[in-house]
Amino acid sequence: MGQGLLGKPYHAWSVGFRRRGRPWVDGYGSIHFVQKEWAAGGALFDMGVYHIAQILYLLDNPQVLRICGKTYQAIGMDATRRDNSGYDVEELGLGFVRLQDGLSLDIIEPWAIHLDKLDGSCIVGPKGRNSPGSIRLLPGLRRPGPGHVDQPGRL
Amino acid sequence: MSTNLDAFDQPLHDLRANASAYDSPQQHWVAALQGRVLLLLTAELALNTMLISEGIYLSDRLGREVTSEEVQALSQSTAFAL
Repeated sequence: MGQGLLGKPYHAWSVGFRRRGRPWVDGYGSIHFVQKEWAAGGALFDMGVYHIAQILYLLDNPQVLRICGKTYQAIGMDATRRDNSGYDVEELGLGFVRLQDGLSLDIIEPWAIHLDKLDGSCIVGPKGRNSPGSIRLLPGLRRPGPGHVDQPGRL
Repeated sequence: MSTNLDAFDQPLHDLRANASAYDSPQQHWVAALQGRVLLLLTAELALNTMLISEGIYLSDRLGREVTSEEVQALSQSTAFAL
């Protein structure tokens, strides 16, 4: 990132994934995870903050301008554990964030969702992408030499 | 082109100074105390992460997009009183 291999990043995804992994009601973990009084939030606060912070670090912690978000608790759960926990946090957190310099950030953080997988967090620029743990550049693209000038549309 | 950073791990440790400082948060902390690497801006990152997280909940509650100024103005501390 620091060497500009991606070009100027313009969009990023902060992604976590559990197919069916809500604490307590799905059979593991402490009851406190699903009580807003103790946890303040669900999947977003439990797991999402790590992924968001990781992306912000890679983007050099840009200023946040505007946020649009939605949370859900939609999938059924064990009735006894729902009742004795008073489950009142989200199982899915979604967000779209406008950052400084035209950057945008897409957030999805499910404790439970009917999907087999989600691609992980990622940052894209005009020359490539950076996923935490791997770097991928477009085929045929090499580090620009001295005097290189970007030519939009010719990637 | 793709790069396998796992396979690159050993040469990274062999060739780069202070590579081990990035193997774990604890090793990074020790290396920072020894003056070998800089600390990460964890407080600033945490504040920005909190701003986004609270913004998602506030936007959901209000049913519209919110500004960072709104989030900060409407934020209510849930810290325990000491």
